[in-house]
Amino acid sequence: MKKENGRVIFETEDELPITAVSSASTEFNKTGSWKYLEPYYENLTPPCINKCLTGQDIVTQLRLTEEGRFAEAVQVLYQANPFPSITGRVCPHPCEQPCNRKAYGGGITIRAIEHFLGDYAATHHVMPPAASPNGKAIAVIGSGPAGLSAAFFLSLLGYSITVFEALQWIGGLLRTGIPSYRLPKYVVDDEVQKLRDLGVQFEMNKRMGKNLHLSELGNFSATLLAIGRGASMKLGLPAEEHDDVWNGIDLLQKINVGEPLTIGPKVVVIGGGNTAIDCARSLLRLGCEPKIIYRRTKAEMPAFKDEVKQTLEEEIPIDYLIAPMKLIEENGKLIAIECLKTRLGEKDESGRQRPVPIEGSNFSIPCDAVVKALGEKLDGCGLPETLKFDREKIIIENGYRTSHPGIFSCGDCANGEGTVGDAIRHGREASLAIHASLLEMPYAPSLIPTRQGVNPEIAKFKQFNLAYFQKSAPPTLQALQPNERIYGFQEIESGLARNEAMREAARCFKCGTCTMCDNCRVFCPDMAIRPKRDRHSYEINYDYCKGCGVCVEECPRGAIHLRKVDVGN
Amino acid sequence: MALTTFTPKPNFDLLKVEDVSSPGHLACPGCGIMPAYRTALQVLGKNTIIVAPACCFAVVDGPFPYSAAGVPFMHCAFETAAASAAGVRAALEVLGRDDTNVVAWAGDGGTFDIGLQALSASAERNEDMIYVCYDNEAYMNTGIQRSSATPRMAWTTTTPQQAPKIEYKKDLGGIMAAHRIPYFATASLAHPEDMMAKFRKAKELRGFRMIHYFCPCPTGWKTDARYMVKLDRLAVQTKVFPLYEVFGGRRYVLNVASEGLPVSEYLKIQGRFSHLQPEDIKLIQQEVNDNYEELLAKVDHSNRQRSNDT
Repeated sequence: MKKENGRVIFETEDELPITAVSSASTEFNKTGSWKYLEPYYENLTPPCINKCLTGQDIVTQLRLTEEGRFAEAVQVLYQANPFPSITGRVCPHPCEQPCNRKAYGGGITIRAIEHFLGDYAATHHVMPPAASPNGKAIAVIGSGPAGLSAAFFLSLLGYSITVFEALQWIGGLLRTGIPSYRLPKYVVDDEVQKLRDLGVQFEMNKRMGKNLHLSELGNFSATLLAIGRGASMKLGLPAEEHDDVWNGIDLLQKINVGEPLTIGPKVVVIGGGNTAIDCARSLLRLGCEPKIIYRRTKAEMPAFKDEVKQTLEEEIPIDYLIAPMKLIEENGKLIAIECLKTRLGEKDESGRQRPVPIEGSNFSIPCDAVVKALGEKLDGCGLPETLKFDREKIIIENGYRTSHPGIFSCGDCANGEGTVGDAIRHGREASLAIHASLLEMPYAPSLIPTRQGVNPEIAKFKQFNLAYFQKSAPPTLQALQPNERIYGFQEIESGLARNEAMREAARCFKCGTCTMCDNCRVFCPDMAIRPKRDRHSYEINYDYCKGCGVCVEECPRGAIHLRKVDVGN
Repeated sequence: MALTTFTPKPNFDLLKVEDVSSPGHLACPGCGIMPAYRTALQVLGKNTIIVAPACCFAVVDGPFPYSAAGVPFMHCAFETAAASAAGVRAALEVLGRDDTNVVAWAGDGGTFDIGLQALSASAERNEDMIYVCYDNEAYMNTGIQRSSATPRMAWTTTTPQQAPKIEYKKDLGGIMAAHRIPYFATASLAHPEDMMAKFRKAKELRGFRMIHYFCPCPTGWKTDARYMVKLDRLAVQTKVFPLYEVFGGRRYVLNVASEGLPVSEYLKIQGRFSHLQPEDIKLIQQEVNDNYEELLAKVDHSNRQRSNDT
């Protein structure tokens, strides 16, 4: 008797046993040849990750949060977003919009978990892995979210960074633009301290073109312009330069840094964006009677929906379809604003319907001051002449390069879309672009570790096996009531407690992502699935897999798929 | 040259169990026999002897001279699973070995019909063995003939749609409880931790222990192979196959409360029920509800009995 590849061969009749006794296992029998379908593992892109402004691996963060491994979750955050305590508060979180959990008890409050992780990182001083210095220095102009994000990632790449800020406060709009009830100032302080701990230097009161010139930056290997949009749009009305007519961002800066201020009490805020909302709500807290007028309707308002909702809760009137016409003065003092009613006309290039004034519908609103919050544009004065820019932004090409050699630009002044999340992503991408350029390598967005776009297929609800999930609702977030919050600048929402964050993270489907739950291995009838050595994924032994598809059906989260096997004719 | 990437370390230790059984066996794709056998052997260990009559499992194990079982596997005549296992136990006693698990592993035909006499006799003598009935509700490997475990109105080759089965499925749990055996339990593939716990209990007890396993058969039930686990899960959720234990033939324990999904959820994914009319489904629902009520009454009764005792 001999064995060949697991087969038993009896050479003579004498070798046969008296009764039938098995002498080998069935492993010689490669049942894999039966199949016409075969399973394979492929992680799909979760819808939240697809929509994340900064490109975070949200699912891995939640997996670690669920297990109480918060420091590791923060490290995953740091791969894409250095300031979770800021974005956890002010990001509009488009990630929550397509959450697959919505159809099964309620979407995951990713925002609240990010808020919790950010606060955890600040209180526990969670720092990213330190880099060894590479001896090169880079100048970052502007300390807004884009500049700070770039400073963070560049210092992780080993550069020594100096950030130049035009004002005396670090943080750009984070400090001077966003009111404290949305983003308390200590949060910004903590994040700036984190950068200082990484070795980032800050120089305040250095304005481009005034007391900071390109010639002074010769010692730096590269310069990154992240100056944001500092100039306000104009109404184009006579008497616009009146003392009682304010620019929205200037007013917010005064309020946010605590400068003395005389305004109101009756204030009309013109605009429908976040600046208008922030101005009106801040003025309400200072005892004014603000009123917002907007030339389109609620549906077209560019402000975050949650912010508009909270504004209405605080009983600030928002009047739609009104366009300002004329400022009415009496004895050098503003007493009213004359307006026209509008109706929506044809769509303009932004896809929104254009407001058309209705002639003869004039009326006036009595007021003591007017705040213009019509949007911001690039403040071009002070920029070097060798730099190409238009009315809106600095012109950059692929790899964040400007027309001036050695100068890069990112954020709202270049390609930003006006949110903190976008600015952070651009800061990270620009830092890699600078790094690539200094190494004389081509820049490609794929250098950035993110799950965004790795797999174009988005995980869908119908791919999940709901038997493995309980229908459950998200936690109710603790928030101040409207009547409690309008008397001060106290933060409105408090974060989740530790156990709440863990429970909420556990509710996440982890769409399309293998979490090593072991269902496939347990149920495989052919013992063809086993964990790989690294314990991060499974492998399938196609020699024995019969292609029944049980693993695909029993995968709770759609990470296993079936494909046809070419069996010939 | 990307940024430092951070890979979280796995903090779990996957079940460190070694499989006794081996792949390459001859079960149809999506068959429920091997997953249950594999789970059972993970608990029972290598010191086990399997006795199987003519049934799917005898084929699945492999042709001479090969075996997928990984432990001694004795084939016996169709009606003799319990008697043969009792004989193996007697032989082990003669050899002075009492730590070996003797397991009879038979299908529903060899248990409900042909092997019932030997089963009853062994149970009555309280022979020291674990008897596993994997119930796929027909004689599957001979060509899907009806057995006394086939549910009412199900299609088989001997109960075609024109003349569906009108008899009830035999109440195996009731029969075995009436023998007052130490342990009887039902098991489902959809609840592997529950199944493991039951095999563990069976291993620790002595005397005649029985596990009635509801074994999905995509081939005979005319359904997609991938629904193997789903079928078992739906059977529990729709009360068709409730998970319970009976200790000493009297004390009933319900392990998983059925969610009470309509029975049509379970029936509609199986081709063997595709001919059913709404009124047929109503009748099946009624039967399932009645059986479940009866089981709950028994559970209630034993709970009251227990509180009286203490």
